[in-house]
Amino acid sequence: MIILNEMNIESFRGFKDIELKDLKDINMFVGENNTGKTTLLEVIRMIENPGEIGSVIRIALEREKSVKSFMGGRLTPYNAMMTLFNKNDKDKCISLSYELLYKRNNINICGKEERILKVENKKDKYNLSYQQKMQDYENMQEEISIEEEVLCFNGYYSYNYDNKEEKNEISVEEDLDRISLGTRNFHTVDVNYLSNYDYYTQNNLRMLGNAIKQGYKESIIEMLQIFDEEILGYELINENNSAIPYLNHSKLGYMPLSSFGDGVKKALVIATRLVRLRDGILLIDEIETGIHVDALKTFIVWLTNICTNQNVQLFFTTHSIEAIDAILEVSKNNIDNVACYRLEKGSEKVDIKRFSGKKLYDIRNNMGLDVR
Amino acid sequence: MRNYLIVCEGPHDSATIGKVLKTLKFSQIKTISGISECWKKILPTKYPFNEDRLDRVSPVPDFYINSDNSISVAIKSTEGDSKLIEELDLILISLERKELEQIKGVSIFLDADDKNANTRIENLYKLIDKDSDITFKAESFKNKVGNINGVNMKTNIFVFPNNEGMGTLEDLLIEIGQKEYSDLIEKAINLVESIPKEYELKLLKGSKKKKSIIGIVSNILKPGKANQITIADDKWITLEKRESCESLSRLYDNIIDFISINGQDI
Repeated sequence: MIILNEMNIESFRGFKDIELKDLKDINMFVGENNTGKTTLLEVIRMIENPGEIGSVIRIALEREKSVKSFMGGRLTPYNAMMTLFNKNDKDKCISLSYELLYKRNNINICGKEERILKVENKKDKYNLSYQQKMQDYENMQEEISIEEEVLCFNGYYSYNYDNKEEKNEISVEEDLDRISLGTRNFHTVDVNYLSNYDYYTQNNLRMLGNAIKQGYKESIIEMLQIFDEEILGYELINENNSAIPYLNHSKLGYMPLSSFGDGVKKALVIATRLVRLRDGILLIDEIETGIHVDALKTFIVWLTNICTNQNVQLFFTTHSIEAIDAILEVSKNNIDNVACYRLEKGSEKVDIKRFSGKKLYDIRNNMGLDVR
Repeated sequence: MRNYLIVCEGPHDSATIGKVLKTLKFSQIKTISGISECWKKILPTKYPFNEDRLDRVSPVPDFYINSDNSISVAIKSTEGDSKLIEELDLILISLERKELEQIKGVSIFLDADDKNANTRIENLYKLIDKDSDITFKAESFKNKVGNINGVNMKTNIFVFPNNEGMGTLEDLLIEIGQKEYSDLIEKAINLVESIPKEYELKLLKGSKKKKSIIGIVSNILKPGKANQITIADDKWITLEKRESCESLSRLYDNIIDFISINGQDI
């Protein structure tokens, strides 16, 4: 199902005037490393909760998960948010316009990064108790406040969606240590994002537990059986006060999920996310991660079938020619439902070349040429 | 390095153009490491080449380079004229802009068949513009310099046998053959003219009669081998023949002008 028809990126990170035209049910992003494939997925995430700066920061922080795991540190929410703007622009602006469910929408987050003098109660800063503060107040009035120079993004967040227009002033300070996600007071469509890091996070266990509680267990098993028909079910078994996921396999019996290959884990994570996603958008970064070349076609058949059944529009990035070939073969009879976008580094900016499904099929299957 | 891309209708065309280049001191490149970076993208990366067919005919282009390594030419032969534009489009779209920018020109070689060259070219333009899925426009080929997928480059069309009248590559080869192998050509013509009627219908269809004549001579010069072997190895195309054979002279002039051997490039 085509939910997002078109996306024009006037400005986002390093992208300037990029167009994703004529999006289809299945959309692939290919290109060399560091051309911005993952950034395109981040752009699409922006359409889910327009107007919420907390959501924007959350999108920016997503990349920090993987950085933290092998570099040890991560950007602050403020610095992560600022990476979404073009580094070279003095006037910072994220500017997107897009067609969602055949209606034109736009998002603009514009402003300036400024140094401000922040006046702060010293006692608050050092987390002193109320009594201590009051006592100190009597004795040390001259030290009640301190001045500190901090960076601050001041500007506005405007969006329109389905004739609803809103423009709010925003101010985000450098020392923001918690993100207020706010209530999802304005939600357009469900957009679910899976980074290539998500298959290994604790978060999945919580989501699996939630899916069971919400009555989706049987649906997840059905989805897993499409991937491996020998899987009969799964359970969360308590071991040393931890919930450990086990799969019930017709040949192996109950086996911990950890003993299965990454392909099964990936299928379980995607199934957990997809089962609740209907009439929405699924974004997968590096679709081939963890899946053996021989299993890719089975996985792609499984994934595209679920997306069709759940009315989910699929976007994914890939470096794998096998993944591209698998999509083309699986979609051979519905090749018009597929589009591929190649990001190409130009001398000044990244350009995007679109391949229709038929063109891509002919390039691969009549010419044997590569497109990555 | 100046890189030029040529697409033609089949292996005989490719061998003919390749032989012209060889007489102009180009040599054929036989290793991947020897070809320009931009050509690596037009090498097939999968087998089967075509769907799941067990085709053994390689779709790899022929590559040539001149003696001072300043000009590189890739010749891609297709399966007949119906595939000519389609495959050119697929090659061009598969190239990234940075690769396309390394290509100085693109040329199409095809047979006039039963039309004169101008009509054949006009029909080709119509074919290009009729298909909205083709990423370049006929306009790009009308002025010898055109915009191909956002990059300006030289464009060229040559219509066999002589860029003017009706016919095919075989008319050019027969014209040459009548000078170098006149006895063989004469006997081959006689044989074809005297074949039993039961075979004649098949033979006379289209340009097949002339293909048979060249095929007969080719099989005498290089028994059991394909026509392109004799075109590449024997004395059909030589610099001397360029002086004495009008059609061949036009082919040489067109190729030399296209790859700018004697002049400045754009």
